[in-house]
Amino acid sequence: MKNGFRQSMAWLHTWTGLLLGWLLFAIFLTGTIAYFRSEVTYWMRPELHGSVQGADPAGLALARLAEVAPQAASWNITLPDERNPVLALSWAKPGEQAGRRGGETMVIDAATGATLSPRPTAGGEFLYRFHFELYGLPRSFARWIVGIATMAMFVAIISGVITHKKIFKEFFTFRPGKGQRSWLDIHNMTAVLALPYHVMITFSGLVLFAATLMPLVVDRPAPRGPAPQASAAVAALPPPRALPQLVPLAPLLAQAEAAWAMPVGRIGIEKLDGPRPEIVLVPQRNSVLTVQSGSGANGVERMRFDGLSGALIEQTGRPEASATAKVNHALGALHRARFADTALRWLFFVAGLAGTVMVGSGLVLWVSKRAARHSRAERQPRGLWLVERLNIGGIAGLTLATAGYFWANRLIPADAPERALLEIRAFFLIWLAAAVWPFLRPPAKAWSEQLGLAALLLLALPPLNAATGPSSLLQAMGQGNWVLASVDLMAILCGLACAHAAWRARPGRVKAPKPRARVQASQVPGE
Amino acid sequence: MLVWLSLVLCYLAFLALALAMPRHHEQLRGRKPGRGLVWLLRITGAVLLGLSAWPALIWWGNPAVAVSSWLGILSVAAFAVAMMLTYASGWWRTTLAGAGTAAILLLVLPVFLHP
Repeated sequence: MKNGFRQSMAWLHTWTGLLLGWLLFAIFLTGTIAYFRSEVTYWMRPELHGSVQGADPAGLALARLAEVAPQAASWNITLPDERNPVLALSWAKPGEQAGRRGGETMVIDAATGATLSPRPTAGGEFLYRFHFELYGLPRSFARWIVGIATMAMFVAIISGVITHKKIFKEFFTFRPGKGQRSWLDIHNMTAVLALPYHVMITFSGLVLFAATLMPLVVDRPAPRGPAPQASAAVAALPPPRALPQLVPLAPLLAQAEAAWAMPVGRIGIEKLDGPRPEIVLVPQRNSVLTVQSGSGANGVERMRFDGLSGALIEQTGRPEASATAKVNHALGALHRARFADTALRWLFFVAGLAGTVMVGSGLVLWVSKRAARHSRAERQPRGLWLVERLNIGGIAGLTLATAGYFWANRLIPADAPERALLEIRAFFLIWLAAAVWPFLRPPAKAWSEQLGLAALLLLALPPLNAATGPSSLLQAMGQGNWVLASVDLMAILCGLACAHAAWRARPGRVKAPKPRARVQASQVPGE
Repeated sequence: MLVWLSLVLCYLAFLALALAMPRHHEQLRGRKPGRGLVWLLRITGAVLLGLSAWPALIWWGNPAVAVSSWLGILSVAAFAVAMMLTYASGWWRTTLAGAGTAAILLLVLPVFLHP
């Protein structure tokens, strides 16, 4: 124990924050972008941008399925929605399991029904996966690392609140241009103003890792039996048959949407190879927090209809759950935000950015404080020297790599083999270069060069999109394609923030003899 | 519309709470507030904060979802007040009038749009 409770907490806050700060910055930045992972993936597949929603996507999908998969046992239609304006079809042969593992998939133009062939891309999914499983490491090992970082984040939040003496007095206070003072203000402000979010996202993240971090407390489900043997059944294709005449979908969709107060997101047609096919409707997303939100985006409710008469066979609502299970579900749901509508998604995104800036400014603050203390010394301590440089690669470098990832998506040819892997490699190569860079350049220069380059890449992203895709930013706005437009607009906004930061960090802006001011000159990117 | 109503009410609430703090009161109005005024501003702020939850509850329906969203709105509004205090404190009356007008319009307009 040092000189008292608050000082001990300050010590704890400083060192847990530093030790895992760069990892936490990466988790926050990629996790925040992951709120819009299907939007990012959509942006990264320009082959789909020409598709505009027609009047009756469900009818169109049925017609196409009857053409391409008349022998299938089941069909699946994922309808376009406000996050992903794409019409996706999948089907499975008799005896085959539908879904991710089995069957075939196809994306069609939502207005004309033409087959689209989007490029393979790592998309938003890579950033999403990276934020809790990193990359290239054994899954459970990576989850352990991120789990420990999450725990450190939780410790840092609690010790930070205790350390912060003027939490209410300085609630609205930001004093720019005052060096270390300003960094402390940014750190405090982004922490305090979004504190409910930080506590929620960190605690729920920990709960999601519970099974990894505390493997013994989890009741393991009984091991699954062998997967159903599909091959034999597939081998014996049934003789060609006439497709049953299905009832029109529109009235069923209307019935389900009225019952759920939520649009239908997915339509399943099952038992197509039997005498009485059935139609299953699934809501777009959950409308409450207290149900399992798993890895699927859709809601848990189901409505099953007779495919020939249109009669409702079965309607399943939300399953009963204990209070503990409900709390567990709610924490998972809050973290993944799959229940969230567009407005709430944006609110979470902004709060996530605040968290990113909070972690970044905390790291800069660590250097800023020590640089001031050692300003008169002949040589900086080794730790300070190292952290100052790692900060540049960790903060500016990751921002640059993320911007570069979007560029790689458009510059790597659409038919390149293993292209998703190439995109990921581009991301890591840029990050690696950015991490080495500060060891070859003076820190102030490295900060402003990397931030400047990131700004350039981000600001040039809309022109790149216009050059390599069918819809430019203006065309997308004109068509009301806000999913596409908002990725471009957000790139411009982040580009401007990086440009501002690069300008503030430029070498020579502040006189060199005052290291306190020199560090202040750098700005946290990612706003 | 309801989300924006919640946001402007939050902004007004945090503006009142900032004015209830001597430091910001002096910054904005050039003088220290009296004890009575401080309490009046605090109560106004608290009441407005409470009110701002109401449009969010209507918009999101489910209380748990509404509360999570409302907390997000609180963060954004508090950040807006802090930025105004730092960079545009001379305009505080304008932002007050703007947010006040917007709140009234957003309250009244739906009545005309859906009579």
